[in-house]
Amino acid sequence: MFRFIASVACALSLLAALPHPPAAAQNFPSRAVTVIVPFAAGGPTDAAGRIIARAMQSLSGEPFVVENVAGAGSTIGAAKVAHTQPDGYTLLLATSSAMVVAPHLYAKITYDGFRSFAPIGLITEAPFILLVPANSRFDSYDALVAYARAHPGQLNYGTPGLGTVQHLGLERLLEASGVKAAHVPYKGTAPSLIGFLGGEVDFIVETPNAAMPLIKGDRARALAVTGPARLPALPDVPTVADLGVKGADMRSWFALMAPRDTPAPVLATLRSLLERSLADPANVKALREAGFEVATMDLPSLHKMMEQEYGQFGQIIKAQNLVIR
Amino acid sequence: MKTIINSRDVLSGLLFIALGLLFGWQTQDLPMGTAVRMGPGYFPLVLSGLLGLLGLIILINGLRFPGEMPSGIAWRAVLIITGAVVFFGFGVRPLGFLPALGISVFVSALASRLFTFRTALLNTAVMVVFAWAVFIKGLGLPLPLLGPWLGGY
Amino acid sequence: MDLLDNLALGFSVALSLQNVFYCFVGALLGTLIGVLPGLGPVATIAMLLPLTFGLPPVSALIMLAGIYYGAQYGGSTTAILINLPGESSSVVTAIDGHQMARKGRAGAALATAALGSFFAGSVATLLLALFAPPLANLALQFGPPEYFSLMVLGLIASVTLASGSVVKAIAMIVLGLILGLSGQDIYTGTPRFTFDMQELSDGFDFVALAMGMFGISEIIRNLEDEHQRSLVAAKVKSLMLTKEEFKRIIAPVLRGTVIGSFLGILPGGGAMLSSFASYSIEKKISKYPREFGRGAIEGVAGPESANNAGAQTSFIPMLTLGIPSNPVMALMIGALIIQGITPGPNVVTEKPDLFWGVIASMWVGNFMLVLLNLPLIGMWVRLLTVPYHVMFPAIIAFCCIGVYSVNNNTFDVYTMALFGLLGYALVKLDCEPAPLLLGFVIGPMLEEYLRRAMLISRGDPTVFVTRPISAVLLLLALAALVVVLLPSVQKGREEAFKE
Repeated sequence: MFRFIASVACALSLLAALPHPPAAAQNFPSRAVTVIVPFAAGGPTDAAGRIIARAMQSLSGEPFVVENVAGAGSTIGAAKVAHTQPDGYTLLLATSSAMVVAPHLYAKITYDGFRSFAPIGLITEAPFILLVPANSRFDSYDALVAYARAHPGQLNYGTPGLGTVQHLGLERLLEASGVKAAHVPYKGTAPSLIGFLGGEVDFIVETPNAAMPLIKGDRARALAVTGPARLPALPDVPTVADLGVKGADMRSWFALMAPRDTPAPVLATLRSLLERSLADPANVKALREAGFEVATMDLPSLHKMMEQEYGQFGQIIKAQNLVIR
Repeated sequence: MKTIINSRDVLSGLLFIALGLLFGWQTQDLPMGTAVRMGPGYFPLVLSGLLGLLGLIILINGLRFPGEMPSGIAWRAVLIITGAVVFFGFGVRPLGFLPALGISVFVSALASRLFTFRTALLNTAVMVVFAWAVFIKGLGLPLPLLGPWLGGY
Repeated sequence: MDLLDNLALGFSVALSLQNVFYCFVGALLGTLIGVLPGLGPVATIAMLLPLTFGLPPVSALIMLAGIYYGAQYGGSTTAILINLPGESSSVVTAIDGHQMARKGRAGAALATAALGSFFAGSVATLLLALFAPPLANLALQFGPPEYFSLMVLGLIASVTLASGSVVKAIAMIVLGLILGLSGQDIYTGTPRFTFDMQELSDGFDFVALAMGMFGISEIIRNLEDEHQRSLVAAKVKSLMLTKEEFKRIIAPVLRGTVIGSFLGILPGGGAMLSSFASYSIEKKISKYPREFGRGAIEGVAGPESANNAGAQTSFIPMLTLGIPSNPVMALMIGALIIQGITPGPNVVTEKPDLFWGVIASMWVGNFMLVLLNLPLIGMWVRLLTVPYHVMFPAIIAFCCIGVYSVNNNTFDVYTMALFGLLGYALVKLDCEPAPLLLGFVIGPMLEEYLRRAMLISRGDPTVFVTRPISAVLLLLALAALVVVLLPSVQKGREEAFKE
């Protein structure tokens, strides 16, 4: 009996080995490419992923299909890509949560944000905007900090969850400003915005695509921008560096990644496809209307940015003892 | 069948007590916190205790009043249906969507006493074609038709 | 008057030939996909989302809204015909709707659902058009303490979902609460009840749980005695409502509409409570409380109306603030973002054609559903005449596909099998599954709001009674507790006297 099972298993594994000829790079892609978005359908990451997939599909002539594999702070989707066949037919829409936060945050993780992936390129990058409700007593970041200093631990800030970039970034900003506030985590961006608008928390940070509608609709006021430069849409809002807070920049970014051992010619094809997609004004416009500014970066700079964030997030997570087992 | 004790109550009481103990045991490593500053273990432990308590009440009630035995259990259906579902989960990736679905449909048809080979085969064929037309062609779900074990990718 | 101008604008958009067409296509597709077991509105919309990318934004949203009602209606159809709820709201419909179907009144149950939904949808749409912005601000008054008290009220009311033993119903709710807590604790990230499985870090999937507890366990139970099961199909009586039935549904539909409209506004989980709330109220004030759980038409009319009214008014937070109040809304916002529109508080003023067009199309969509579904009822009922031994393998296939496609995860398929076994065991022991499902949905919210309320009040428990809305809700909960427990205390005494 055992020999029978063993021989069947042997035959099956042979079968499994057979139909994988070495990825023929010269005619890549010759079938549908799956882009794994590690968040639920309908979110901003999903929107960006679908726009990019659509653009790359029209350039390559083969379908680029978005598959949402959500869960565990986007690590399930990232792990799936890390362990897939490295043939370029399964790609990951990577964000900082999967690449540089999760490796610190989760004790059990089956991939490495740097070594498990080969980057194809950056898609978009944006700073966060610090918001207070429109009827808030704080009309500047300095006023907020002054109050927080006089009343330690009394202010609340909301985030879309523990260990999100919003949470870690705000902790860093508060630490750099020398104040403390209570963290109120919500279950995702939408509930956190509802809590913010309902006056449950005193301030939040959000990306421009979530923040701008609230600012324009007079529901929220922007006090600071966490990027290196002011936003064209908000010329009067100072950056945190303008306010004298050093080393507290934070940003959200999306990049396209392939599994590490993807053949170089396939990577080159994918990089050129992405590059041409992002150079097309129609796609730039589509992304901008969805709230994202196209940002390109050469691969060494992307790597450097990720390493820098990896170090910074690691520090906060250790300091706050946030590791999830 | 009437018995002196209500064995449905006794058994469900025991089941709830067992589940209460299982979940209560699972909260052992969780920080409790206090009622004012609840830790992650507080709510689960309270609920597990409550479940055990309710199980005890049901158990005692069952011992006090007569009732009926649970009617016959369809062991054949239990095994085959569960097996068919588990097989789909196991087979959908290595075998692919359509083969896994077809085998699951055919296997689950075996659970019926009115099983005939012809109907089951026909049923399988119809479901596979329908699923292909609706989910793959119509909705474009990213499911591999044939898995690596059958020569797909 | 402004409103008339706005509605005129809305209808001029919604009634354009193109948009009527997309509304119809959406309602039709939504119904057809939603009626497949295992595919609730969220799965259906997620699958059909890409179809809308090529359309102009207003048409895309109109079509999506059509898919949403269609899928929801389709889900009720499945719940009634084969006792398989695809989302939390149709859990309630399944209780009495399926019993009606077993008695040969499937047609009447489906017609009740269609008519009740249409009426409730029309009223709620009007409410939306008249009061959307002030209602949104009202909803924001609901903070964590209020939501917590509301959830407590919902939990107590859910005891009435069971027609058997009250203690067993409470035990099932508690078991549901515990299962709902599975996954990472949002305040500390600590995994709870995950049994060291990474797949459980976001908890059990609702669809897998519901398909297992209802779908799989029901199939196993039916296979115990196939002869009896086939008889059910044979005695299909007339499809339409009798005069007496029609009279009986009027009041429940009206009450359901009111309940659903108000609870639907609350973005933090109100809509989901509406059908449960309506069911418990109907059961408590009905002249025929004994029929509940055995095919009471009020048990279909009230919850279906409440559910649809709530579905309508849950658009309020999205249309006025740009914030989704449930996964379906999140998908719609995603579709809008891809279309290049970022919804926010300014949608009303910046895109009046979109805002009013969608509102008007909701009414058009509801109307189409009635047009579409009344004739389809005959077809659905005829499906019941398919011999059961042919039908159940197909149901299993759809359950597998539906559960797998939600997250593309085989783990959910195994979860469904496990809950199929547990559900069968519990049913054999006279424990009804509906209260467990409500506990599962409410559990995480109950804890989340409780702990958030305590966090924000810095540990002061009096917030629950010093805030007026919360205090009123807790008083209602207390009253509900008395009403729920009283009959069983009396029954207990009777039983004691019998000894």
